[in-house]
Amino acid sequence: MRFRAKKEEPFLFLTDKQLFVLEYDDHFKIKKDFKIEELISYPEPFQKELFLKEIRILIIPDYWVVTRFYPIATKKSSVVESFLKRKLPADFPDASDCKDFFEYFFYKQAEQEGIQVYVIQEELFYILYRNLFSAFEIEKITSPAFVWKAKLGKKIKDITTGLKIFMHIYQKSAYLCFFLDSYFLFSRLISIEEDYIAQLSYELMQSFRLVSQKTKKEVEKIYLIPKENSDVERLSETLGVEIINVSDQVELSSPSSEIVEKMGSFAFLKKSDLSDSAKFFYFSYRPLKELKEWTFFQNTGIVVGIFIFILMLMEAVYLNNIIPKIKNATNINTPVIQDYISAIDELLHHKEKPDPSLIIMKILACTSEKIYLQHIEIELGSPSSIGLVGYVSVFNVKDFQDIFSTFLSKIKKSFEYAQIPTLMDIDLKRAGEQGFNFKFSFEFNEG
Amino acid sequence: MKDKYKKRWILVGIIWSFALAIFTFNILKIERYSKEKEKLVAQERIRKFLKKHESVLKNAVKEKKRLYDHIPSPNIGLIKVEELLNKLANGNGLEVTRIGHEEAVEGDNSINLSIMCRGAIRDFIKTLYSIYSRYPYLEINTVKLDLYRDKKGIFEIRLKYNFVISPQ
Repeated sequence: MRFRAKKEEPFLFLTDKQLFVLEYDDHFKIKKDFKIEELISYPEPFQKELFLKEIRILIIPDYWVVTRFYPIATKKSSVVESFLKRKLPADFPDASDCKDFFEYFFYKQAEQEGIQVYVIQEELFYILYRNLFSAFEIEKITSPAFVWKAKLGKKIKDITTGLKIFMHIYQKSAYLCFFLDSYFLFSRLISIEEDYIAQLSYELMQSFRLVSQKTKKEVEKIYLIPKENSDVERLSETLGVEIINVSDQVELSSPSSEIVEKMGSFAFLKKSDLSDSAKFFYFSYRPLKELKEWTFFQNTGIVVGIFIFILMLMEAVYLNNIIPKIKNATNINTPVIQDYISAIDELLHHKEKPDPSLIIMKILACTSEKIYLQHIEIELGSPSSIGLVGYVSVFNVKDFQDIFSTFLSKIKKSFEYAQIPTLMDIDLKRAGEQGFNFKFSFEFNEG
Repeated sequence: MKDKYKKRWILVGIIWSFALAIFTFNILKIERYSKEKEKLVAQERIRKFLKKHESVLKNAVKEKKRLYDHIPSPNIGLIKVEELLNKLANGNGLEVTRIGHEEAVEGDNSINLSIMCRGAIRDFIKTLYSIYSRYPYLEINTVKLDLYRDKKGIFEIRLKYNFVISPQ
């Protein structure tokens, strides 16, 4: 879906001699006209006229469009397009830019699968497009025949099957379009005289013959917008072909004779015939079309990107607001906690220190008459340690062993969690005949 | 014409770069938010703990104050402590032979002291117990006893005097 601001959208109508800038108000009006010769050498007035204006539709003469059938089995667009980009310049050597101005559709001709290709084959058009129109990104390049076909197709369903002719007789001209199945073959513009029925019959017969030879098909019907109501009957009698008057089925505008003179049958069309809903066939400049194929992805990228960006931005604002609130909420009195922690640490440290008077009493309680402690040294810390130096008053080793073992076992009992050395680890010395000196130390952890 | 589409791609790139940048910024913010939230939960637990054990903790702070002697100056504190130790030892029947201390260092809240005395073991134990139980700011580190057969001896206590300078 495309959204456009409602602004003036002129149409361009191109002939081989003139370029018209058209406006629509009840009927087409020529806002400005330029001579092609002058336009090529001096394009500034045209550029000035259309500066900053959007031009979506360019109408070119029917005869600039040619058709060609190529039998090709594939229906893959990429394969078909690359085939045509190679094939068309070879088949149309005089049309230098034909590979940039073609459209195709899949078509079955005489039981053969293939593609029906429309090509704009006109050097003048290429020159004008390169020098004048490329700046405007023209969306649709079409011709009057395609617009008429779309307009008729809405009301007359069987125009898309068989060989059909559309004829519009107006003022001093007759416009003829030949359609085979769903595609446009060619058109003719015939200047008519006073008694035009005989002249038209002759011209039509000539065209019938030509078309029948080319397509191997006979003309089935003629859809006619007559100049006078009697035209239908008179032509039908002469040609022997079914002629259907469609003037009641198609709505026409009422252009001035001056406009009709310059634009021909196209002047009778309405603005709605050029709208998107009219669904007429059109060309697009291929490089522009290929670029425009990315437009959807670009637009999606922009819209989704902006949407995500806004969402993220809102999230960022939200996060920015809640984090300070959390920070404020978490402010607890850290110095007070520090005070508590240090108080508990110091109290624990103090409580860990055992009572030295109790230790001394425990040690003294382990001694007996035969054991005399000469020196006690207590280091209080973590762990604490006790050093003992003493003398055991016995004569023989056996007695010493008994007494000292008892002393050690008492020490062990008193200091439950201490590593009390065994008899083997204790520094022992004989002190004369009557006793033994001992010295040992151990660590303990109890409070 | 191509420029217009190129510019559009650049615009797409810029928008997405901004979106990506702000996305990264938000991820970092969310990580920070999670950390803050964890901190908040932890602090909430602390707050509840503090509320529940307020009286115990306040008592601990009060108790801690007892571990320091509040004095106007270290020298006054030393004189006071030496007199105290003398008095305690003498009061328990010990003869103080020497009381010494290290020099007070500015900024330190403790001074190492030593007291040497002689007398009965029983009296020494009483003195030691008095220091340990009644004066928590005197932290006993080392106790040395040289004992004689008559239950007397020479004793040395090395302790740390903890103080806080507070104007009286």
